[in-house]
Amino acid sequence: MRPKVVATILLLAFGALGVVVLISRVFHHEEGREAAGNLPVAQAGTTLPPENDFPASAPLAVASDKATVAIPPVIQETNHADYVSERIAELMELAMNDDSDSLNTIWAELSNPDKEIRQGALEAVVQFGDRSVVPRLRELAAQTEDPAEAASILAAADHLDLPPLGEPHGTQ
Amino acid sequence: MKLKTKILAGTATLAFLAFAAGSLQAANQVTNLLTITATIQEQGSTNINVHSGVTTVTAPTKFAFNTKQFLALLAQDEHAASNYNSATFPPGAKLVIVVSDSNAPYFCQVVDKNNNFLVDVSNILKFQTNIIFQLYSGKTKNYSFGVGGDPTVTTLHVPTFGFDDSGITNGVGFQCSMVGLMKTTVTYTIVNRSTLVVTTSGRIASFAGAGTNQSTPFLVTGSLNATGRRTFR
Repeated sequence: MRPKVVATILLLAFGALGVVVLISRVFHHEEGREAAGNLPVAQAGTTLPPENDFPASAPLAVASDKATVAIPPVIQETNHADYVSERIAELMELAMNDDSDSLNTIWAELSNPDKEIRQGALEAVVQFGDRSVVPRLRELAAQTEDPAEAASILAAADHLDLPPLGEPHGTQ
Repeated sequence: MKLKTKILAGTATLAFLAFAAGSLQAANQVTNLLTITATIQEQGSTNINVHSGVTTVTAPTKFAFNTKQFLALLAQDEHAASNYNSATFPPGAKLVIVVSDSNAPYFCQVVDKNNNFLVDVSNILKFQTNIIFQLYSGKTKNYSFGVGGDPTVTTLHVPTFGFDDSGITNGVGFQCSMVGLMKTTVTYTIVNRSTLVVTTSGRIASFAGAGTNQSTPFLVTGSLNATGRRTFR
């Protein structure tokens, strides 16, 4: 009699476990449907929050070594791409300023390990429009191993070296 | 309409002008930071040697032209037109293009560093594209399979953008028109199952155009970027 009771209890326990797993899958599926409802087309007619929601200190998705172990590669790529685009946008906004702090922040990113951020920083340097950095840009180009990147730095230096429209040549 | 059709249709509408993200004035309008880097070339000078009879024309004279100079011209013109109370914009001012997802016309504005509206410059700065000639491609996701697999749509088109202050009395006297192939990528990313982030990156890697600066003809070449980012919660 006892073995039958034990077997029954085990069967009930497995059954309950199965029901729990099934319920959790159903809820997971519903969450996915709710998230899908947030696509932009579903936002039509709603008032949008303030524009260009660039966080001042964006959560750096450039994962640490620990995170590298935990986060799947696809999500890592997405987070990193987000970080890169956010950082480049921040640099471009800084380029619209005229203060040395902004230029220093942009300049520091010219040595960022990420090539896309370095490229964005270079465009921001050009947008900032400070011709005094031309010699430093030429030095940087000379120290850059990648020929294509060195050429783009030299091109930026050449462009900055031109007089702005309205200023006669040779008046720098 | 199926979700993927909605995404493609919505993206095509938003992205044909290469911009999506943000709102300054009303719902369904999107705002993008615009930056331009250009080289302007004017006719070189002519030297006639009366002794030898040789005429020498120097190479075209080059000038740098970027977003800040664009803004400087716009400030002077809008001040001359009594649309703005100063002949300069504050440091950090930005040029943005606001595009509607309806058939309403887009418009160009200048905002300060905190995105506060300064002046509408659509009377001078025009940005147009022909929606018939746009090619889009990308990846969509059937969300009944769950979140993830974030959609990305890329659009190719050829916008024309121009600066014309000829209608402004005592304006700077700058007119030009430029054209180039623009590639725009709009990415939808769902974060934490409830937040949608729309990121747009548009670029004309190489444009060309012509114009006049105080009646002096010039040619212009350069690149243009338009970037935006919006978070829907």
